[in-house]
Amino acid sequence: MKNSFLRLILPFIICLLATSAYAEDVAATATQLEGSFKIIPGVILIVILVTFILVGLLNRAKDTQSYWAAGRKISPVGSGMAIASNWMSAASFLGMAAIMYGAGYHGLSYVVGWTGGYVLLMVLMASQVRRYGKYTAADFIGDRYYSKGLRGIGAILAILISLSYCVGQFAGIGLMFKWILGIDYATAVIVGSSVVLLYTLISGMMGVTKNMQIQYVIIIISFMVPMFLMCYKYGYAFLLPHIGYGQAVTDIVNGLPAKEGLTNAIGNSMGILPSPEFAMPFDPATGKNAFQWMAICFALMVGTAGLPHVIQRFYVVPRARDARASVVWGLFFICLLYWSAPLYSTFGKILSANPEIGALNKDAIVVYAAQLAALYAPIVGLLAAGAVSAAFSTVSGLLVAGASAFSHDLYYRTLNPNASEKTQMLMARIGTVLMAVIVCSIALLKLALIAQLVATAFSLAGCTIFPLFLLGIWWSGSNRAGAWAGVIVGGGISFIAITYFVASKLGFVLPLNDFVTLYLNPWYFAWIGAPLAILANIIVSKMTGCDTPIEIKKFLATQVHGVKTAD
Amino acid sequence: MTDSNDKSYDINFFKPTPGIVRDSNRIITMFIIIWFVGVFGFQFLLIATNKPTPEDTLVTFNKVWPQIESGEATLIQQQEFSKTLLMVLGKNIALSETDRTVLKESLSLTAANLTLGLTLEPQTVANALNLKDTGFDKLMVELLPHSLIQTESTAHSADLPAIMAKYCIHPRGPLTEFTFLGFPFHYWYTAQFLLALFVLLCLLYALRIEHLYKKYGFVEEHD
Repeated sequence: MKNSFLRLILPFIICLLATSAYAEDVAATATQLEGSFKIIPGVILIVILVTFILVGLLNRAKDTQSYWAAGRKISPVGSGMAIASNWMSAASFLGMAAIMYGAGYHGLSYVVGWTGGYVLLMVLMASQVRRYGKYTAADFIGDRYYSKGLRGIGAILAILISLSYCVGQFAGIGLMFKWILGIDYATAVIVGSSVVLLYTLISGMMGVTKNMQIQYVIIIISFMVPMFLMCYKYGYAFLLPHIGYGQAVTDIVNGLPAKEGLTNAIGNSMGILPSPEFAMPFDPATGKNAFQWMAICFALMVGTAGLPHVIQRFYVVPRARDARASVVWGLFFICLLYWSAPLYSTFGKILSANPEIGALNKDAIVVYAAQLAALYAPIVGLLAAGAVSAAFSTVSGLLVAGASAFSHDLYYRTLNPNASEKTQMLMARIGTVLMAVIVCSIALLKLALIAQLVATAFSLAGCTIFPLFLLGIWWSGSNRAGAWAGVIVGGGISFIAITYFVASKLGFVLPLNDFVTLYLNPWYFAWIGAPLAILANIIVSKMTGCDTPIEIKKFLATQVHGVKTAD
Repeated sequence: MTDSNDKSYDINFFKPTPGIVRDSNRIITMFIIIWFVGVFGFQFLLIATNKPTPEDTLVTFNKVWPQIESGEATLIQQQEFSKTLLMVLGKNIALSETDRTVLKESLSLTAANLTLGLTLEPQTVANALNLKDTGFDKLMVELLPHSLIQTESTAHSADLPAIMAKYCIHPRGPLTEFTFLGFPFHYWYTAQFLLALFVLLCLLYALRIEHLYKKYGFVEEHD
């Protein structure tokens, strides 16, 4: 295990050290906020990408079994790292800080929503789903609700959720490629998308899982090193920056007078006039209210417990006990980054306080904060490469989940049960390419902030998949008709919310626009969509009578819930 | 023998059968209650304990605004008024463009008055406002080049008090004023403590449920 890990990470370390030879000559380039090709960040990015592809090649999928579920060979700690890496996308790395930078305490709803959902996942889903023993979310839905049609719907939903989730990631990849390469956003999205597609096609899930462990290490190191340096440089408790930045938050609230000799990279004084709205809860000055905070938080939580690519990770652990252990490890690894994310928005807020900086792209505030603190160029470069790595690890997992749904659930289980292994693999790869092209096209439209785009995927999952899993596991009375009703209600609400959003982006104002924008907002429509879908499932199941086959009820009771029976 | 009406296989979270299902449901319910109250209960507590609280900036503004509006303000009142406008312009939050323009116009109008209409050169205005080269004053001096504009208007906008109130009244209360580890307490609770609570809940749940499975001899693996 140790040797294998070293073998995987060694090429990366060697290449990274090699790049530092050039660091001194070009250190100044990293302080340019935009516009030009940045050599050191570029070299680090290339090294990381080459490492990913090499690891992918070394561990490439040999058949559909390993492509879908990595042969269930991953330890709980390894699986925890993979969960964390898979989870910590551009939305975590870049997006959360962006929201907090713009809207203060309101942004913490994303931090809490994206971690608190794991408690729901843990107590209601993880080991139960593992004990149910299906490969994909659609497999579970099709089997539990004894319906080929619902299996197909489950697969389509998994694809739609993956697509929606990927849009934010591709936007993040584009943003970082733009920053590093100094090219325009559209070209950057296309270049970044091509690289991530190539990598996913080469490696498959086995490579993805191994890579995810390396990616986690890169993500967390790249995210944390600048924190220590920024806290040290500006006189905050740097030994534990997760706590040390607390004083900086209070400084923003009370105001931080200009300190003699302390400036940002541009030469503006390090200080900020009193800005309590940054930390005060539900502050009207931010334009956000308590309802929105709680709706986002709740929607992200139920979405977390309904995301196919997250649920799917529990199939790759050897035992149900490992599924629980991997959630604990995964959440801890995730929290290491989530405890840190507000630091970047805090320092970003102080260091960009002078209007001379201009309006910054909020989604890149993590990198800008490090730049404005005039950190050493390779450190800023590694941070940007870490952001790409975060997006990569999630995108590859999502593309695999989407391709699995396309190839396994739609094509093999629904359309062509006689398909050979080779044909299934081909379909998986075709599915991956199709998804990447669609996502790339949507990402070019720049519809919203990264975290908001990703939140849409969560609401979609919360309205559709979550109710099916929750009732499927916890109520044997939930039947096929009820499941259809839940999907129709959840899907309908999702459709309305997304339609209004797209219409507003295209310049159309639909009836009741203000009401729908507030209560069925695309970032949090699951706050009402999920409960209504559950209610619809229950009512229709009750009305139509429990016709769940006895084999399923028996399996659910004995294998999933541990009921002992006489026979 | 089994038939489709066999109730022994029914699973219902709210009507659990005695034994492992009922015991595990109790554990799950307890964890969900802690989770829910920990997250949302605290936010409701914040709503209940916070009150709209004006910043000192707004208090000063409200004190001098009647004189400014009537054109009878003294030199010191004009200086204080200008500083309150700079305080809002320097907040680094997303001020609406309309609000920003109103603030800049009022500041520039007052600055022109203080410099006798001779110039809006930032350093001259800084001197007229009696801004020092240290502390918050220094930050305001750095703001001036971006805050002074040429304006045709001769009177302050009547919207100014509403704009100031919009950005200078904040929901504050005992939970936001008390600091812990350097953080405002509520911020620490939400950004740090809740995440630690989630990890702890997951860990404790894993331990409790495994203990329960052992007690009932439930072997989880079926494949």
